[in-house]
Amino acid sequence: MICEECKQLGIPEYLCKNDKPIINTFGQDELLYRRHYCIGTEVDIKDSKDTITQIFKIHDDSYNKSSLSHPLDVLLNDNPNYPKDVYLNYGVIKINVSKLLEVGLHQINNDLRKFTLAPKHIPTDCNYAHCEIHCLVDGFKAEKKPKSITTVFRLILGEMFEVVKEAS
Amino acid sequence: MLLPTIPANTPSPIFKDNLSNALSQPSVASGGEFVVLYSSSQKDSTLLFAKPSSNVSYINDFEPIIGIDSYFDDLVYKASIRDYILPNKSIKIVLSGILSFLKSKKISFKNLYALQEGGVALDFRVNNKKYLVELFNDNEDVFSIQEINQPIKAWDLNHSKLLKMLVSTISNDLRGM
Repeated sequence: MICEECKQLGIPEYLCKNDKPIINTFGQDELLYRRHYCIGTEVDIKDSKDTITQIFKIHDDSYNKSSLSHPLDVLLNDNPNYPKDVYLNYGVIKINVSKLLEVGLHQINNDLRKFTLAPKHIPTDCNYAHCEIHCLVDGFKAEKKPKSITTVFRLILGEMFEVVKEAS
Repeated sequence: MLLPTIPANTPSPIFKDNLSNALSQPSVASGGEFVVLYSSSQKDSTLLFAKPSSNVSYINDFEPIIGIDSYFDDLVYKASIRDYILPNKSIKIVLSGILSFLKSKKISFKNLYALQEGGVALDFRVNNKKYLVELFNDNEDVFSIQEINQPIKAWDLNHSKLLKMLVSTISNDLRGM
């Protein structure tokens, strides 16, 4: 069963939320996919802090869960206000969830703090696979300030991803 | 804070005439502190941190960066086409100080780019350490250091504290080579 909005947007049935449950278990092999508009190879992208800053906004960034979707599904537009093919030329990256769950201690203003990246399944009406990565410091969700926290999360994520599809 | 001593031939900034002749760029208020470019001659300049009441610190090796205007204009242009908040004038002066310090130590930056929230960032490498400097319009900057198999270190600093920390950290790192 597919909703009228998904039908109009060309979203496949498996991505239509309907009454499907939230699945907050993430297997060790689970991947998270994210779209971006930065041109370049994986080496180019990893080498450029500018690009990393553009890809990882850090606060509530959207991803798709690999067990519920295909890698290129992140290029589907689920917003009726945008043209259907708006993300067609975007690139796609993947992050292995097992890497995310490794807790790291990093130093903020001379104090060691515990950094955790927690994936959450947060389905939307036309994207059942939609997830967010929540950034936790000492067990609490990170705020936008102090800014050094955002910087550290960005540096961590900037080394974790692999390119699935380059932007064109 | 360990900073190089001021050269003997630098005119004292405490004399009003010297100071007004020497300040070649606008000063920047930064947490009660000013960061100014202090030129004793066309060849040698000093980046000066001064609290209105007391402490004055110097970076002697300051050499004006040729083309800083075009560097900065380019950053502003890139910020504008990305619809970012544009970096402000105080960023330009601090950036100029950082670039000239790096130049004096023969360190090249890798990336120099505009930040969405209004500001600029640059990264560079010294030995096995990666440094990232993020300067924001609101004077809440971040200085971070990444080293293999070590925790990332990051500090929240204002413009002048960041400049001082960067100078001190890099100078120490180079001395330890």
